[in-house]
Amino acid sequence: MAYLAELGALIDHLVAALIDIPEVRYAHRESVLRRLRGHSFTRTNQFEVEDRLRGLEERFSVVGRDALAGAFRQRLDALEPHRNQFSPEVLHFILELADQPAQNSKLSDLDALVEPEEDTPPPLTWRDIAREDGWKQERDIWRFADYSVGSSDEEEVDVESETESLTTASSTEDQCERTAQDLAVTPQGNDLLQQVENAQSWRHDSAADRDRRCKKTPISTTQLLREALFMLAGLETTLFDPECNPVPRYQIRAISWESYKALVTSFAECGRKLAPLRAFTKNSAQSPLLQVFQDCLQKALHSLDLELSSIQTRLVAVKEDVVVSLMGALGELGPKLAPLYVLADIVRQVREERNPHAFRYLELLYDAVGIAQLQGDGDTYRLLGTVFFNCFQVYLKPIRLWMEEGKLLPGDRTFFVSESPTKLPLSQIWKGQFNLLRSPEGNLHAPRFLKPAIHRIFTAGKSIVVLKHMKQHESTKKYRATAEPKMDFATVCPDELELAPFGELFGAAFQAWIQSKHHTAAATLRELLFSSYALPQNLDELHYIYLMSDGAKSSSFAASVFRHMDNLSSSWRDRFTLTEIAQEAFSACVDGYRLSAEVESRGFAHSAVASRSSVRHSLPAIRLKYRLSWPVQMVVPEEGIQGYQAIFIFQLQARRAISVLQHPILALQRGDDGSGSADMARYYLLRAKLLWFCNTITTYLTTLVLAPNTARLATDLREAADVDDMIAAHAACVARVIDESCQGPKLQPIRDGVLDVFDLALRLEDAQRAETARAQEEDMEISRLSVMSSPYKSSPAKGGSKRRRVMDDDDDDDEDDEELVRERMASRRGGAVDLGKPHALVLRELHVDFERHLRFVAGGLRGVARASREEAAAKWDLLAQMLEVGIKE
Amino acid sequence: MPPNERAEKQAAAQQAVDILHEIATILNCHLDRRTLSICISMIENGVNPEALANVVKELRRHGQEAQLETATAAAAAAAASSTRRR
Repeated sequence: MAYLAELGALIDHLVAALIDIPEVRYAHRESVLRRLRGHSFTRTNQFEVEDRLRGLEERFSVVGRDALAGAFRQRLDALEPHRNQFSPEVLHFILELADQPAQNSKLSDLDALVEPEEDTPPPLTWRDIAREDGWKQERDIWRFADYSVGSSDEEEVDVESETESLTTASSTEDQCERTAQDLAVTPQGNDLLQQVENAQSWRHDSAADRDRRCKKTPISTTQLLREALFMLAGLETTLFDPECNPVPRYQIRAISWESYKALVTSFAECGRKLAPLRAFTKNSAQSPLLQVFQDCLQKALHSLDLELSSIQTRLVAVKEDVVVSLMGALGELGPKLAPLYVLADIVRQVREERNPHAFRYLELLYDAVGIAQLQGDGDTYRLLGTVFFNCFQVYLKPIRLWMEEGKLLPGDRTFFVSESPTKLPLSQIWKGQFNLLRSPEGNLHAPRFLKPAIHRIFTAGKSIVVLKHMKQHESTKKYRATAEPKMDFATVCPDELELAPFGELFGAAFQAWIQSKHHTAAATLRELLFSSYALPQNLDELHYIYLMSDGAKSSSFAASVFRHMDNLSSSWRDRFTLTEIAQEAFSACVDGYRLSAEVESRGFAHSAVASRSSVRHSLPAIRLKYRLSWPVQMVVPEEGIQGYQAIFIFQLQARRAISVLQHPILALQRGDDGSGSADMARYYLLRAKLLWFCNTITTYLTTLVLAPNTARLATDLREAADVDDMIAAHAACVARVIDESCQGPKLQPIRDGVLDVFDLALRLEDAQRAETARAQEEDMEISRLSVMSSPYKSSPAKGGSKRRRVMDDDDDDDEDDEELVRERMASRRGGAVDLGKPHALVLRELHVDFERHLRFVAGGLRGVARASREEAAAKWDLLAQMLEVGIKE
Repeated sequence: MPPNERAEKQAAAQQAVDILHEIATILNCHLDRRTLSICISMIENGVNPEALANVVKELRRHGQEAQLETATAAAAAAAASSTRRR
């Protein structure tokens, strides 16, 4: 199919290339396709092709076009390294299309093919540079510089030496003239250094005084402000120790100790809160999620540093009057620091947890954003929101890859989908190949705020994987026309929607994002399952086979099997015979070659006679198998088939009972015996009741269980949104059918009761047959004795033949075939159970048993229906009602 | 395969198609590069080359006929409109 699709596309291109007018194109497409597929040309003979090519070359030379021949030879030689398996065919094609090359080809055409080379710009040379820069004009640069001490124009010397280094000629000579003395530099600005040292002396004052009490070094406000700003910028300072605690040795002049302490402690608090943030950004993280978080933190800290340096600029490069105020600085920095405190808190929380996932901070960020919004803190909300979305973009990458390509990044431990390392067969890919990772406590390995969407992400990726296996992936790429919506703060939380809760906005945006990816994959997969893989048709075929939807075909299958069983041949146990019977019976409605049958080993446990006498012995061992394509097997797994099998066996058992009861009635001709007619009457009564029972069961099954459930399954499948729903719908249907047909484990006793009644039917028939056989034997004895005593030989034949009418028509001669007849009668007696009991007793027993079983089944069904609250209870009630009709009070 | 290998293979394939186009020009096949590459794709997909060559000739013929028809139709329409204007 892919080949045809590709060929069709190529034909379209070809027709479009050769015919300009669009209307005519489509008409030709079909004819082209036909002609390409139904041609009668043979395969290309590559030796012939080579001969023709060589011949053409010679021909060119012969007609005098040597240049053409040369060009031709050159191109053929150039083609040698690129030869592949299709080269002879392509050359054959070209040869076919050649149009008198010896006369008409022009070499100029060949040249026209070659695109003109771009003119490379001429390379740059030193001459050009010299010319451009005008080195000739500037005389000064060629002057030799004088490096002697005391030369007045120091500045110019520097400039000259710079320009001289551009030329390659003169610099080496200058360096030889410099001496060590020239290189010695006298330090200047000693005074400046002294000034600086004096200004910083307060840091190094020894504080001990005579009575060993620490003397406080006085400092000024400016110094404190400077130190505080440096500390907030994360640098080492003298006034604060590495943990941002104020060193108590220092104190501002003219302020009391308490107020100083309060002031400096407030600065220290700010610093301490920021410390974990700075420490975190210094670590190098391994996973991209953490790296992006670090990046965002660094950006936030950077903006804080900018703020600090702007304050410092105001104080250092004084442009206008400024008041040095510590409280002012604190006030300015307050709003900037507030969001950073939240971030620092998050970092601290992540650090404190044992074994956090890489995305734990995402969850904390999400919560923090929500809280900030609720608190009305706009700046914090915006900053945190931006950080959150930046980090979330990185988290989205594996999700995007999974939903678009069905691929997982190897070694990625932050994503919640994992692939099992073993390669599973295609039909189990959906269930088993990919799993959702769970933590040891059972939570999903994903951020909390993504939990509602995880299932759809998972199914989208799995759908893509299955589509890839079906080789249909390309078509979904075409249909994905809508670009994914942007997930960043400005788009998700625009200013107009300030009052909307962050959780809602995020949820809505993320749903939209997922929808843009999930929808087409799942829909395409569903379409494919329905159309190319014919899911409904396959289900119908399964129902034909297992649920016996078509009674005629199932009856023919059942009849053949029962015939084999009745003839006591064990050929029905042979796998091949059984398969043949099944295929023949069902070939009209299913694909026969996919159907096979076999008998389980427990079917061989019973002898032929025993298996004929009970529905429990051999029938449950029959197994039918129908081969399904692997996508259909995804929806109909092995457990479903087991369920179908159970229903099939039950129906087969019911049919066995009915078929046995519907054998032609062997009328006992002896009307002289009063008990004989009473027996016949009882036999008829029992037979009628048993038939009624079996028919009730079958009617219940077909009309009340199978028909509504299969119809419901069809609608459920049509409405299912994706494959998981389909699997669930099918499994639910099978479970319902099993429950309602009393095959479930809870109704085991009821099922046994029904099977007992089926066995009663078999026993009845066996008894009747035994009785008839016995009666016939008696008649034969009497006739034989009368033959021996009477001279006429004709009447026994007539009398015997009437009774032997029901036996095989082959025995004409009763003397010779008496052995055969006796054997056959013995075989027809069957039923070892009732051998030896008088017929009337047997019939009475059977009647009593039947009544008992019927009451038990009906009563049990009523009780279970009343006691349980399942859906199937209503159906059980109905069945009980149908059966109670037959109970005579 | 790593991207540079893929690029190399692509370049080699391009070169092969170039050489075949030159051969086709020498043999005066009236094939442009695009058509030739489409035909090469089809042959690599298993189409018989003789059948394909016949198809190409057929399509060319049809294309020319159709063009002739439209040209005569356009000329007739132009003549009719000019007579109407007069």
